[in-house]
Amino acid sequence: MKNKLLIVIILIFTAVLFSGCTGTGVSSSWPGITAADDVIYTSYGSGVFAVNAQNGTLLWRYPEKATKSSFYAAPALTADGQLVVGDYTHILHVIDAKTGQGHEIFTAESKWIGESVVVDGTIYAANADGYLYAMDLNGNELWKYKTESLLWSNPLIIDSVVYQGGMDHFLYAIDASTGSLIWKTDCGGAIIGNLVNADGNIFLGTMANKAVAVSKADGKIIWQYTSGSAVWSGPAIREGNIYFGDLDGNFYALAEADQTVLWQYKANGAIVGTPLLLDDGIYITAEDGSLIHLDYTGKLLYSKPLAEKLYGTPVTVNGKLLIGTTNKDSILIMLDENGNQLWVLPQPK
Amino acid sequence: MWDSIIITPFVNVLLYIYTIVGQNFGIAIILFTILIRLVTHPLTAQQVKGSKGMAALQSDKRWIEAQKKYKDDKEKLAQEQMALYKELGINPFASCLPTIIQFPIIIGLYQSVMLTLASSPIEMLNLTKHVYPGFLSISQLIPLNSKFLWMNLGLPERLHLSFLSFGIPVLAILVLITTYLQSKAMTPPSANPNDQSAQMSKMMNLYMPFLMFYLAFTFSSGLSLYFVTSNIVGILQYAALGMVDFKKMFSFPILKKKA
Repeated sequence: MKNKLLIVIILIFTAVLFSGCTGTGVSSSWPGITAADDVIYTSYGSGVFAVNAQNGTLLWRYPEKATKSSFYAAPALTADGQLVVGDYTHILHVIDAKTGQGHEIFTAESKWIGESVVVDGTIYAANADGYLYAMDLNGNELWKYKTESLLWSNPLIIDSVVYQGGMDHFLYAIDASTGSLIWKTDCGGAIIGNLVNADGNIFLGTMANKAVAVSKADGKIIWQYTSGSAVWSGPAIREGNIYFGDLDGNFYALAEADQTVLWQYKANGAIVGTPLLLDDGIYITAEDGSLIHLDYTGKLLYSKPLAEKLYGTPVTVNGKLLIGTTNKDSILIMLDENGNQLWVLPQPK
Repeated sequence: MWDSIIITPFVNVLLYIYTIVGQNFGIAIILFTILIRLVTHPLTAQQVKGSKGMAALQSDKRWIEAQKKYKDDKEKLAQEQMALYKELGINPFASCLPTIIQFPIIIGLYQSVMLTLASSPIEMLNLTKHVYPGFLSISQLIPLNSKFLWMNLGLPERLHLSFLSFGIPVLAILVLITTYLQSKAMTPPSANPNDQSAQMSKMMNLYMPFLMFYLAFTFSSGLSLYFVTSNIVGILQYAALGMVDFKKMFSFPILKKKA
């Protein structure tokens, strides 16, 4: 009896040790956030959550009880009040934004990491199996386009063309109605984060330490700027200037016309998300958990330690600032105009 | 500390092998596992030597008699044991110390494989931090080619055959078999199969393969590939050290009893 107990203890210890080493139970992503009117929708860990933007009260969660599913991508909100969101168990879900009642519509071969986009009743969704899918809201496939590697980046749809960045280093332009390739361009490094549309170009970051501008018309690289480290997300653009950060914590302000560096700021951790540009300045999150507020000359207005780690892009909701965290005890923090905490959404159980 | 001494060097060596074998992560895992097992071979040899000595003690007549004589006097039995250790030239720590030293290396190897198979954003960010910038180029490494034979090494493995409605967990089955065989090879024959430690080893040899099967069934196939390679290399190492009786290793008492 004693022996058996000892063996069971040894086996449990081994299982726990190995499970711990594989990262089970450790967050593998940060919250994806979509805000609409007074409700915030966030995907994180075991579910999708609807939260009252005024006071942070949890309105509903999907699925109602935590399951094996793990969500990362921000839900896409359709015009008729439905949310489309994929999870790590390869399933794409449609959820009623009011009630939180949802169902599975499609299963792919791998994880859904990039956000889906819904345009005119068609879902465009990129999967880590390398396919870009177009389907209706019932999950009926309209077309799919195979790339050479994983897709983690979100599709961007402009004028019936889907732009999709791939881990295979290519930026693809695909006809939104037929799924046929219009052009593809090798950007020299894996494209992981979001794409940005401005001034007739697509802007993106690559793991080959570059911020790149590509012509929407023909896919030609207009310019590329080499930074100190990998550029995870696409830049933010305002009044002819480009703002982005890299994984070494360098933050750059470039003149779009000739890519001269206007100024630089060094954060104490990797900058992963796209910066948020508001009238009162620039908001950046850094991996050391600080929210950094700069003015447009690069002067530091404040740097607040908010969380253990911060990765995502800050979001504005009714003039307030919403930050997604990977804290053990909270997943959302709402701040007022002065950076003071209004409410926190605790880690749902 | 753990990261900079074990994980980061392991990740870089693993990725270096990956680049020189034509970006095949499966081959890289196999070669890396073999390399680490070879580097730690002197420790394995020492462990085998120690366990051989312990097995010799178990069958020594003086020890068997002492166990009977002092079965109610543990202190005296321990004294007798120490005297026999001295006389037979056995270091009681020779078999367990190498295992203790090897354990962090095995865990480090396992963690490096998992880290390199980054399949989520935070895992990818962690991986970028572990690559020496002057040694390897992250832009050339990402995306890692995680395809190996029919498997995606970042996902649990199943072999789908056209005539079956479910996938067969081939690697998990191989993990189960090789873990069982390795534990059989590692367990020295006991002079008294009914003693407590022999019974415990027997039970561990039965339960451990199922635990490993479960882990291989659930986690990424890259990890299962590591388990299988590590087990096979382990069996070969024990064979080279004269510890494996292949005839005995492939004999299954349960089957014999039924026959």
